[in-house]
Amino acid sequence: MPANENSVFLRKLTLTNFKNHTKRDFRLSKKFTAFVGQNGVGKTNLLDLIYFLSLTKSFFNLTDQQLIKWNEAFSRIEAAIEKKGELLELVVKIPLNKRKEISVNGAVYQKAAEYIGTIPLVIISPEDSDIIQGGSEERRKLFDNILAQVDTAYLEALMDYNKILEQRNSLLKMKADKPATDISMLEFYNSRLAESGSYIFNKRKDIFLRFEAVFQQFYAIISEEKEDVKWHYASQLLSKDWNMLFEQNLQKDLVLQRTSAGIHRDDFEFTIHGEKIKKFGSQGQQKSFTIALKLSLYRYLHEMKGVLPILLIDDLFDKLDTKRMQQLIRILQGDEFGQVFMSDTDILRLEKAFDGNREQIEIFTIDLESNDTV
Amino acid sequence: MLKYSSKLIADAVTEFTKLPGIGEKTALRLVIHLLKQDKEKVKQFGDVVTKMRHDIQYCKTCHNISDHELCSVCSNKMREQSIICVVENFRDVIAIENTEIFRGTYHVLGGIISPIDGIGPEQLNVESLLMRVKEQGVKEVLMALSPTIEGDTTVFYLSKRLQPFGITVTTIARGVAFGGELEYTDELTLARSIATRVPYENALVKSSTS
Ligand SMILES: Nc1ncnc2c1ncn2[C@@H]1O[C@H](COP(=O)(O)OP(=O)(O)O)[C@@H](O)[C@H]1O
Ligand SMILES: [Mg+2]
Ligand SMILES: [Zn+2]
Repeated sequence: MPANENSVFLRKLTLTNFKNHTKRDFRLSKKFTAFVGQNGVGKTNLLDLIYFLSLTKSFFNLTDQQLIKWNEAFSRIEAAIEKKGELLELVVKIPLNKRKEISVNGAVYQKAAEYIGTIPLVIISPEDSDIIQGGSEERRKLFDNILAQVDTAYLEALMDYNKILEQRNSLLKMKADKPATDISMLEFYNSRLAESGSYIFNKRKDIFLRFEAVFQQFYAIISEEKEDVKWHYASQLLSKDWNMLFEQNLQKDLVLQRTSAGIHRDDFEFTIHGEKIKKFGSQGQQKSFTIALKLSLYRYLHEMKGVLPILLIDDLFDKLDTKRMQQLIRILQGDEFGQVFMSDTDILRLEKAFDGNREQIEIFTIDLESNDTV
Repeated sequence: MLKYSSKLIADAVTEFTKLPGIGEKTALRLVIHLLKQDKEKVKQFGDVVTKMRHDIQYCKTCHNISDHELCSVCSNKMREQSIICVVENFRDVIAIENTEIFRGTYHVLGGIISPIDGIGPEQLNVESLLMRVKEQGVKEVLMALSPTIEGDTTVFYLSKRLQPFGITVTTIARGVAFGGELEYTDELTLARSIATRVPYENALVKSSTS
């Protein structure tokens, strides 16, 4: 794909000792890039690497140290990225038992919060089923991940909020252990939670208000069904203000020794015909649902950042029949989507999916032993 | 550990390696250096260290480290008793003293409020600060604490406790790393932040007394 004025495009990727890969070198020029190979060759690892370049950590909750190839002393990644016509030279170094270092055009970043957002990215993965099946924390994590890329202040507010929350909960425990404990600091913690929490609340609400229609559109296209799907932001803050919540919950908090109200209790509810999708959606419906969700978050990121983010799709055919998959590819071929990386085990199936548009996709076959890439 | 033909040397090396940042090789170099010195000089070295640890006390007024009951700042008649600078620990006192800009006295809290670490106001030198304000004719309390959640909590708490006395509470300019890290802040930045201190404003402190 000719790198578009308003996209981020990964041109070059060189890696040393990243997970199972000793050395690889990719030059990229097409809109679609696919890593194809058998299970265990390291396709997901390559997508995780690109995820890391955007969010400075693994998608799979691994520590930085766990990303270094076993028995090696370091991991190193170099990438060249075109962003709005500008070239960014990225270098990531992860030395064994030391902190990682990230630099862009030679300048080293001190804080992850300041770097995140440089390369906007959305991932579609088989793990997405956790968004529907898992606890509310999974859903908050998803939206926080996107909002953090939009706005440094969001991530900082969230980190502040979590730290104050921890202090507040510790104070409640102290009080339970030693009744004489002075708890006048609660007032301060409350005001600071309200300050950071309001910022977070407003941003979360904003996504939901502005993107439900987009989400419903994507769902309709992918599933080819006229189903009534909805998402809904469930927050205590929608009906009560912070002061009221803290006041009403004080006694409860003292007994439970934790903070009952706040944006750390937010949830995002998804329904299909008014019923929770977790219980009533089929596996195919749920997959269409999470894809539509990710695509609408992609659209949100695009609008907020003014560039087309990178999209990763791990295991392209996961839980999707051919028809839904073709709908997905058709959407991605449009101008509203930028560079796409995907993985699959079956090259024939993949080529067939791009039938007639074979020139749009570059396929890298990944083998276990060989380290050549073309 | 390396092999030593002398147990005396080995023991001395072991003691030095207990110091922060000293490995065995450096420790051996220091021990060899001491070996080359006159016995008298080395005795003095040992005596000074022992005496330092034995005789050091905490100032009974401000809790700064001190050679006497009262530290050199508190006992200096030239220092203004009407302004107290509140700091986390005595390293902060050293850093501020080196700027030579502050002419008042100090109050060392011995930490900042952090329930996660089990530190509440009860663990800090708070009551003695209130006593001083009450009895010493204090006009201003300057909070020189770290710009972190814990530092801010402490400033809030103390301001609230000081509210009934009707004195001025000020804080140093933001952006200066205080509390443990203050020793790494350059003197000029530190001096400027003290000179440009601002009155502490928090609606919560005001509303609760009106
Ligand atoms: N730090 C590491 N060093 C070496 N190999 C690793 C490391 N981390 C993961 N692996 C290996 O990577 C392989 C999994 O790769 P993965 O990307 O999930 O494969 P694919 O997606 O192609 O099925 C596993 O065999 C795993 O043992
Ligand atoms: Mg995989
Ligand atoms: Zn003193």
